[in-house]
Amino acid sequence: MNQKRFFSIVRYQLHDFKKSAMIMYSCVYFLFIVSCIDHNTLPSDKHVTLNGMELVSMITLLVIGLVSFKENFNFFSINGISRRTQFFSTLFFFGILCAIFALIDTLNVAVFPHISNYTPLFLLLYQPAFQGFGPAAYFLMLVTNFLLLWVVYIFISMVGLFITTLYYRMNRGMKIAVSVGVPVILVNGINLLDAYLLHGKLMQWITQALCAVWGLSGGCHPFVAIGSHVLLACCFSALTFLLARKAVVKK
Amino acid sequence: MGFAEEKPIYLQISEKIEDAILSGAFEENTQIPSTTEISVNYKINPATALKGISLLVEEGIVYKKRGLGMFVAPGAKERIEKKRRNNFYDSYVRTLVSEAKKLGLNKKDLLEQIERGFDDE
Amino acid sequence: MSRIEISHLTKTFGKTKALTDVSLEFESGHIYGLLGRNGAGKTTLLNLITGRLFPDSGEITVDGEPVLENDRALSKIYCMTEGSKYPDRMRVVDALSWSAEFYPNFGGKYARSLCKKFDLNEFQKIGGLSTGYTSIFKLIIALACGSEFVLLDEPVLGLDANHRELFYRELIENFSSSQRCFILSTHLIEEAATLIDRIIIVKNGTILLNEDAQDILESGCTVSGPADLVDRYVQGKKLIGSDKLGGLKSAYLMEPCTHVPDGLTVGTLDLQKLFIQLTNA
Repeated sequence: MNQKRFFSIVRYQLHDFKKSAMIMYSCVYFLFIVSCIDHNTLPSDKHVTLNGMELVSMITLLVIGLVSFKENFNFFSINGISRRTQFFSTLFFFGILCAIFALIDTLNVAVFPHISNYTPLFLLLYQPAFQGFGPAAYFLMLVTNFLLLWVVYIFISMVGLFITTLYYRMNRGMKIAVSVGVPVILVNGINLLDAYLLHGKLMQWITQALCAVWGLSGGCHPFVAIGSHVLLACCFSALTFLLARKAVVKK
Repeated sequence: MGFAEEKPIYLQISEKIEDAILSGAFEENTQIPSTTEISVNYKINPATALKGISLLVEEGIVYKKRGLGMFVAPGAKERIEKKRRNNFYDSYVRTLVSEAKKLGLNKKDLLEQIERGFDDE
Repeated sequence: MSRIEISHLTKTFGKTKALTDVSLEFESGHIYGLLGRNGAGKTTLLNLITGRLFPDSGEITVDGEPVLENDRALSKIYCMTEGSKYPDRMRVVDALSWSAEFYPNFGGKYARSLCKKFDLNEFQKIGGLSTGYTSIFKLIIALACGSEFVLLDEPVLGLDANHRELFYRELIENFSSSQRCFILSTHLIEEAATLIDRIIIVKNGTILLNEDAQDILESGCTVSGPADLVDRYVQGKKLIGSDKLGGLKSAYLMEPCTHVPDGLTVGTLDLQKLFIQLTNA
């Protein structure tokens, strides 16, 4: 019986975001079609390039993560579902949703560069890694693209979920402190530290860390990127669980 | 809802059923409303309705037919009349006399009123 | 036969002690009346039973299993809370079908027939319902959900007289056939008085009274009449309180009224009066 409810929750959330996903992809495909038409009709010295469409998926997933707590917590609580079951089924839901998005985006990567001027995001970064694989390279690239997109999407969803759960648990004072404090520290704090104390070293470290996470330091290692994002996703989901397990109903 | 405050509700329920039997609305060996029907109708807890009916069962006024419900016992009407006749003095006469005394009516005045009551029928 | 056991429950919000050392039992086959003034702790108690709040100390079990984070225990309880916890944009009919997914004994046909009886348009969005119809929507789910325990927090809030009457009838019919446990938390004591068979009065976070309704009402009485006569009669008796109007007085006693002198009338103890007298001080 527990299993049935688990999957009911997953289905409910998928059903809930069906519309948003469809709207998002309609916009994406609209842009693709425009770029296709343009690519094939305009004279060759004028063209429109389209890239980074994966960013649209990322933003959408971040937003879905950001709205996936309060309303669902109330709805699932009133249907007698424990916080633990709510959390794990939400994780499962994001796993599926991100896989669907990753699959569609990978198919776009396979199709669109041939009919329009489209450069997929990750191909830009990791092409060198597949040089020595011959004809299988293309297929391998697509699979890697799918896996990478999948874990990055999950990571971003977890960030959104973490933020919304954090905000739900915080009281008013803490919310203000975090909403103001975090951006200020990130933007001004880092800049000030670098300018006066560390002489640019902080930004260097941050850039190096980002490269390491993305598997770009000393070569091209897409699987490092996949691994690091799995780790990051686990961290954020663990933090979210710690916050969600003590959530209480509010007036 | 029609519940006066003087008597417990279960007593009022059993009396209402007795009234219906006396007036012939419920005939002998016919079914009376179930506990559920009574409780839904008067918006009372079924346990209260059951208590009222149990009282009637104890007094032999209704009986239970397994699987069917509660039925008016044979001779129920006579039994109710007898019971009420026995209680007539306590239920009505005492109050009547006490009220008459409050208003300053003596025995003769009261008897005149009673004769008037029978004549008016 | 199911049972909820609450032992030594305490809950504090900041500096306010909402519940202090509360111990109670709820069993199938009874309609409990959870009565208390505003802020007495009734809603807190209901939220603790359903695991929506965490107690500071004490335990709540359903058929021996603790209720916290326990899906099996939680599926035996449905609580109709104040305010709507359903998404505004969800339609009534969808809420009903999702409830059926989460509560295996949910009566879909029964729920739809209730919607018709109460004149609730199934295709309306929950956010667009009036206060009264929000209550109706919630109580339809509560009545149809089929769980062992149904907790109703102010179920008739905003309902007109006709709908209140309809609700009480449906409640009794449902209870009569299912014998599930209903816990009714309400301010409308007069209306609830005939429905409930166990009375629980909460005052300032503690249990003031937890008795069989018939027992407690039969063990007391109301004596009315001229004030001096009443005062003389109640000497040395368990007096809960009294009301006075000019020279007339009504006294509420917690013991049977016997050998009442002429000039005084005796009546049953009124639940609302009992409640007011006990919770006033």
